[in-house]
Amino acid sequence: MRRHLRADAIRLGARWDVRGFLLLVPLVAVVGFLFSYTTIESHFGWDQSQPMPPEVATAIFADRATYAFPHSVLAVFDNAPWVLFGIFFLAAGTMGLEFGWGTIRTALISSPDRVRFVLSRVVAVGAIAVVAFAVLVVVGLVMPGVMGLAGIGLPPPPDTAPQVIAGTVAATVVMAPLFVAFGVLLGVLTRGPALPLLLLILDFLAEGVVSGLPAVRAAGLGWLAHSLPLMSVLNLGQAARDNASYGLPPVAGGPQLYVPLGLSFLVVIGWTCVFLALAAWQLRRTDVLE
Amino acid sequence: MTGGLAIETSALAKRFGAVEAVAGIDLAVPTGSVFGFLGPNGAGKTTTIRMLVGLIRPTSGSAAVLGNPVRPGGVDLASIGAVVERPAFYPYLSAAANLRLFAALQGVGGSGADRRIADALDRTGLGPAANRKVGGFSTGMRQRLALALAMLHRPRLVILDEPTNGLDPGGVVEVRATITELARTGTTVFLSSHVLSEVEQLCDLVAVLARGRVVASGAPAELLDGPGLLRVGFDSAAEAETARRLLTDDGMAVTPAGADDAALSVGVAASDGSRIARRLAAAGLFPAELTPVRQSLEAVFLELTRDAAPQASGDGTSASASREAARSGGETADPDDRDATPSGNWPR
Repeated sequence: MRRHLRADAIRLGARWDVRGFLLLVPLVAVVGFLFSYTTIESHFGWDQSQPMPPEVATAIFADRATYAFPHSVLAVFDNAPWVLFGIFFLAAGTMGLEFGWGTIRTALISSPDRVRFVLSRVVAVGAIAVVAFAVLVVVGLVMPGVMGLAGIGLPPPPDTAPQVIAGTVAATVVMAPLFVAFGVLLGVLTRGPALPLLLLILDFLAEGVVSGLPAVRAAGLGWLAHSLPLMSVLNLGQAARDNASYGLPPVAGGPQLYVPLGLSFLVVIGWTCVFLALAAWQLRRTDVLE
Repeated sequence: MTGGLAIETSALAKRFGAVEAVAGIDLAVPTGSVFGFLGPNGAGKTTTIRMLVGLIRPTSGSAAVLGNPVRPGGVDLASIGAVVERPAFYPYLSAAANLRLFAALQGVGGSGADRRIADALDRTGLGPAANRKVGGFSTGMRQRLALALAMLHRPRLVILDEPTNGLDPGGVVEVRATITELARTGTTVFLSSHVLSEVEQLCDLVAVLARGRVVASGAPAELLDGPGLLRVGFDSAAEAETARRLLTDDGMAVTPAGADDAALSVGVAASDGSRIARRLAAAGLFPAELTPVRQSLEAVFLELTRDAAPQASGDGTSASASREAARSGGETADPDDRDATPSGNWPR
């Protein structure tokens, strides 16, 4: 496995899309943080010719407080889904291009273990995801200080337990392996870099339609929304945010649509394993004609 | 499997849907030999090689490389270097970085790897281009890089699929010298080619593949020792015509020798020359010329493979079909291998 990881380090380390992605992560996080902070008032409607109503001022004050340290980490992670899409694209793209360039042939002649080929790619892209999320955490931690230096005063943060922040971050990070594994699987299945993104979108739509069908809900199959891979990701994200809002544990009084955080974790990890196994199985059985 | 064989296959076969690309071939490649694997495009050479290195799964039969059974994903390639079809490298990496990557996969690491990489690049004439991105390489340079990679971990067996494709004459000479050098150091070389002069020049043993079957095998000299030709020249066309009728009546295959009206080509072994001379003399005909015509490997090759179906010229149709099938886990025609039916035996 070390051989494969060393090879992946050379392979991925020199790719412009990987480098570009890692450069974009802090940039987009900072811009997203500042943009969402500066546009808070636009979320509230009142007659601009009149003074701001006290309840709006209170709500804006409360919203601004969520950008203060350490709650600022959660504010940054609100914009994290694009990182997951980026990770998916890297996983699918790097795997698909192995077929497109024919380099999978050269790689398998150099080392024929196909399962390790898949696993090392998941680990390598997963490592990129870890770096990306670590950057998000750092951005979340330092941005309030940077704003303070710039003379932008922030209200005191809400009284959020540290484990709530940690849980939300973990809930986002745990989605990364699922997106990586799904990307690798689609890369192996489609043998190209372009189709996986389209398939991801179609899958999102299909799962949304299936789990949202009134007939499905009427039949008591609402659990589907928590069990389908990408829906469970959405649920996990939402559950994490609900838990952040309501405090851990449990989600008392929270929306009942979402499953408990722990169960969502299990579903996501389960689907990750399924996708990994399918990718390895498919690559093992396939004839490499590229 | 026998210890003295670097490659041994038994009834090795591969079907792509309805097409039998390799129809049960038996190969025995002795350790230390330079083995020529000849065949026209689409004969099944590349499919066979892909099976040997575990890229595709045989439909039936078995193969062993260096004594280890072959199965996809489970081939012990630690002692094998291979160039299969057109070389494929990461275009955004330099030649040296590509070799470093694949060396890592081969388990060649550390400072020793850097030395070997530099050495391999120098040996293949790519030293000056070591830090250039492969995306800008010509076909010949990629071919050289593939050779460098195949030899990087000092394998005991090197499998080369059309290694001189795309090389300029200088490059061809260098590759042939490399193969000779490999053979000198005891490395077994399995050389797939349709450049017959190359095979004749380099190989100790040859197998000729047509339509997925081995139609002849042995030392090149043995293959050339088939039905010979005698050129029989006369002083006039009339004498030649009389001789033609006489020899034809005796059951010999006689044809005009090119555009020369006064000469015949007689399809007999060279050792039959004296018999023909006596027969003609008895009839009062005295040939002015009686010359054995040595068969070229080209002639033997064409004779052996003449019944093979016209080969596709790489239009990519089958390639697309096979990749399509591979996506679905099924099988269909391979880019290299198409119709595969018996094309006859060595015409002794």
